[in-house]
Amino acid sequence: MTQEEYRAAISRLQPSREAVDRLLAIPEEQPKRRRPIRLGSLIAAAIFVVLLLGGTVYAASHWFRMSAEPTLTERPHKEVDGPTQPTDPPKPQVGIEIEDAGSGNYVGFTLDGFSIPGADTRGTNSMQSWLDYHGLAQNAALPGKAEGAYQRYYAAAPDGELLCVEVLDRTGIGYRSYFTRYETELVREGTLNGLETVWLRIVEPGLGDTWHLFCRDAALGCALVVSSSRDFARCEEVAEHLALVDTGVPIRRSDTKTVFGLGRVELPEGLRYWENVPLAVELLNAASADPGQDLTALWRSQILSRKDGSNLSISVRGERFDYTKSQSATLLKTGELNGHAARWYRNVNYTDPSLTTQGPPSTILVIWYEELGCEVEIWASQEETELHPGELEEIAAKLEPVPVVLTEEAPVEFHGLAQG
Amino acid sequence: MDKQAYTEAVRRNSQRVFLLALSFTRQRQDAEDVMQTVFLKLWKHPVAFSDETHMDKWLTRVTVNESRSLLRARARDPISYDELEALGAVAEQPEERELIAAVMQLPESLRAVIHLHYYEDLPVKEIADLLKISQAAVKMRLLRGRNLLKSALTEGELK
Repeated sequence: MTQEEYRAAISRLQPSREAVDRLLAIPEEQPKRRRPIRLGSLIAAAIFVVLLLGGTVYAASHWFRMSAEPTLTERPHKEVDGPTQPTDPPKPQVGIEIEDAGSGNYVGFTLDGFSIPGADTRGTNSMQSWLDYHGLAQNAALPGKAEGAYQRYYAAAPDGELLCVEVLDRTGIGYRSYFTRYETELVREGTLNGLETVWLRIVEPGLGDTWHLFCRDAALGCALVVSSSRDFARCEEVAEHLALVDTGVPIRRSDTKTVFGLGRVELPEGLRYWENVPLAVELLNAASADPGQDLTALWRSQILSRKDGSNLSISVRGERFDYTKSQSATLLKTGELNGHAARWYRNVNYTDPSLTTQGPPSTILVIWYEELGCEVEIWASQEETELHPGELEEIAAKLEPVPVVLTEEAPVEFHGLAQG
Repeated sequence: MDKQAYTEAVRRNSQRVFLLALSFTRQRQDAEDVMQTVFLKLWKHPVAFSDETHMDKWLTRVTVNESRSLLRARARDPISYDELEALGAVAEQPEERELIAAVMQLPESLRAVIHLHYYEDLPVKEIADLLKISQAAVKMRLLRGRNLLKSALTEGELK
């Protein structure tokens, strides 16, 4: 039997048309997951955020810019046990400048008098829950009218319409930039409901258009985005009902001149590197105060793979975070590990910046490096951790976070890693 | 993963995933169940693939794992000759029908190795990594599989 004969014969066998149709229907069967993530990814902080370094600018507004050309020559890379490879090609960007972003208070909004009958609003965050999640309000109730304010309002209507309104959080950086991923058209600029407004249409191949208003309140120094899958008229209707609310909670100002990376470490037996997210070397090489520091060896986060295919992940950030404030997580124990303070959590659910919970319950080992002011986390599913006792501690013993001091403030992307 | 990329992945890989699953399960319905699970996992996969090769390897690995899980969960009766005939009935040439039936009659451990090597064109080392066996074991299974197929096809001995 030759390879050609085998292939010719076995290729006669095909999955049934019905089975393939069921595969193609999978995205439609799970709209609540897919669309919120797409819209959310457009407007949430999780998208790669970088400094605007140049490029042709469509909009000359002092607070809003959109590049005609990608302003970076390359995007962050990923690696799968092999040479570093580029991921997606660069995309056009939208940049928002929030004046005095590092001062003042966090701002939410209300939509008094606006609602979509029968809409599923489970993707909505109240301002209170968002502040609690980020450990900003010390679980204190917000005063007065801020009590009913949203940080994010998300509605999926029965007819398929999607609507999202979100405050662009202010984390101490003047610019926020969005890789819009798809063809982006600046339609016009103007004023709506007292807010400086930019109308933006984004075309996503195969899925049609989405419409967006980027709105800015100069007095409060904050911006928000209204996104609709229907049309601009819906965005404008929502904007007319918008009322911004000062929460009275002061913005947390961080040291944004220090970021942290992790070096590649020798792994315990049975583990291998699967995927690494590096520091954005192209930015940090120019911004590092120490030109001799090898930033290419540093990673923002790492995913490790066990022989059975299950994964665990490691990441670093420049602040302490208590999972019990925002989740069903329980603090299993505290102690010392290799001379550093350590905490073990159970029942932690992965929650992305839009507070969407994903994945199975996890165990986390958190190590606080007092002298550096950063925290390293090792995540693994609870079930897997029980199958591999001592594994997290063994990995932790080999980890070493490395601070990178910058000559300029780090882009927002790195805020989570900045020394707090 | 966006819908367009997912749809393209289904079009490009559904038969490959189906055939790999079938090489384990030998049951069309089971293979289609595995295929459904694999692509659901692909849709839910939280991390972007660096390129098509990365995704293809991920699909192969998940298909192998899911097929084995299904076999562990369902201790099925041995496949009947009628079922083998039904599988091979799609082939137009008698030789192809015989080849499909002969491969499907191989023990599971040999069948998967034969398929991964002859259809997926994977080298011995990659098959060993996928199936978590030694390279020597892969070579041995290839040899035994070839010999069994040879005798089945030349002597018409379908057991």
